[in-house]
Amino acid sequence: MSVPAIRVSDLHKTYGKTTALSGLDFEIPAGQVTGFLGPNGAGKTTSFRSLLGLTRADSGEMEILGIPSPGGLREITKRVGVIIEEPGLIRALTGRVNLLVAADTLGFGHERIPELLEFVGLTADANRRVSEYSKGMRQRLALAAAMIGDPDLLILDEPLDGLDPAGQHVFKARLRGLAEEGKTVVVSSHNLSDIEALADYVVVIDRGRLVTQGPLSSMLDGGGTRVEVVEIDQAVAALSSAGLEVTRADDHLRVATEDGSAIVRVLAGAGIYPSVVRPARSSLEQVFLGMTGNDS
Amino acid sequence: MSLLRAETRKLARRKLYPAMVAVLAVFTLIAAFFTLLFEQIFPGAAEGLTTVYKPEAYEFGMTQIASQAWFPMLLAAVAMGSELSGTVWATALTREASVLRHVLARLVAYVVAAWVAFLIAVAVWSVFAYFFAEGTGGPALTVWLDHFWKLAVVAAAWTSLGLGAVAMLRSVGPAIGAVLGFYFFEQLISLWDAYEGFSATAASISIFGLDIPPGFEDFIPGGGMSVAHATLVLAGWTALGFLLTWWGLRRKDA
Repeated sequence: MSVPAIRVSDLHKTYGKTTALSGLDFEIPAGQVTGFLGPNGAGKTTSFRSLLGLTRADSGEMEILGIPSPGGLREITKRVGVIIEEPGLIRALTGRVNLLVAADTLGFGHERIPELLEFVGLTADANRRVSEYSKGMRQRLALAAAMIGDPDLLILDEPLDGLDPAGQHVFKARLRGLAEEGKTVVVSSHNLSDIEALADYVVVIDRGRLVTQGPLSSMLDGGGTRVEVVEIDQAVAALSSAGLEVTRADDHLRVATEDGSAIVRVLAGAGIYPSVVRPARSSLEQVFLGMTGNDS
Repeated sequence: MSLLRAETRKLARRKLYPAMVAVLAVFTLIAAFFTLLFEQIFPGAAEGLTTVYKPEAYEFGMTQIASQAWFPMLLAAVAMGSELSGTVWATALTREASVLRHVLARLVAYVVAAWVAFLIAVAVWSVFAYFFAEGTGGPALTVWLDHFWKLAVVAAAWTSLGLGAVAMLRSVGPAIGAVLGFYFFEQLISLWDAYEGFSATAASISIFGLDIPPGFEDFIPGGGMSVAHATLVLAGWTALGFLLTWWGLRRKDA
């Protein structure tokens, strides 16, 4: 099994009397897009800040790309690109100069700058001041700055926050493209539908502790089969008499079996023809609310 | 070196630095006008105002320019503060061990920038003195060179204090208020005998080892301080500012 991109074990952090992280454990697999979720105050940003040495954890163990943090941060930062809270851009400078400054600050060369501007679609605007950029353009420039050292891992804190739908679409496409190139992308977001559309893997935390983690597909797979029929009452009676456990929802049934053909046979035998028979799947929002009892 | 290049690039590409140099040049011209020319144009108009003549007029400019300590302090506070108030610093600085390198790079870049600005102000003063001050003669090249490195020592002390202020306060507005307040307050108390020996303002003037012209003794401090003493005082203020900066930025949890 490959080394996880991030491994956190029993991480604790308090700010005065406020506990931000309380024995947090999680692992993020390499080469995928991971959604890092939690309600407000769950400890998402504190986790990122602790991992990157921007705040000191009280105790616990952290590894990034197999390297202990904060001890190995000097090496880690050469392989990690970061957008924490707001993009770290200087508005008085042009987009291109911001990338030059980012490269110099982090000790990288300038050779990737044209390619990165092209990747984030800002080549034509590279010589405009960042103060003239839209929020989406600033986020894309920040992504380019985070990628200046061709990092193996990108950690992005709320990167889609405030972007319009078109901007979000472009940004998400860029992130998916990076994962397809084998990079690891970790994205925190309040918007669960963004994560649902973007992530392969999800880590959910609440009150500074891990709630759950795993592949998104298995998390959303609620088990059973969703059946949509017009004759709901008759369908419930037929399926129940066939020994299948049936739950009635507003406009559909949920049957506790994954054998769709068995369901169709029973219903057809009763003269009922369903319009939809498919594996039941919850939305990430339903899963999230069920686990945390919070609105994000 | 790449950190230094990054800081230099940021300063060079922003309007802040040339705008501040322009203000410094204007203030220098005003000071030169009142010190070297006013009495010639309006004799007796300002009671107590003394005119300085060549060759002293050139070197006297050093004391006037070194007194403009607002420049390095404001430059440091605004240049670094504009990054701290956003999260530019936090994003760039993702490694604990490199706070020292980041602070040093900024200190060196801003000190050099302040020193260059002081040299420009010296040029402005000297050209004005050449054309308008009465008298003849001027300092030798070696004297000029001696004064130039002393200007760098002055720039280092005040730049370091500006960095310290913004690192402690973490916001541009309050930092500007603090450095200007400190600048005027330090000028005032530098005339107090018990404090003069520790004063950054007094040391910034005394480091040039000049005789204060008659008529200026009452409002130019540091008359009794030796060059070595002044250099030590400025080194002390530089160290204090650096420590405040380092400590202020280490408090990342704040």
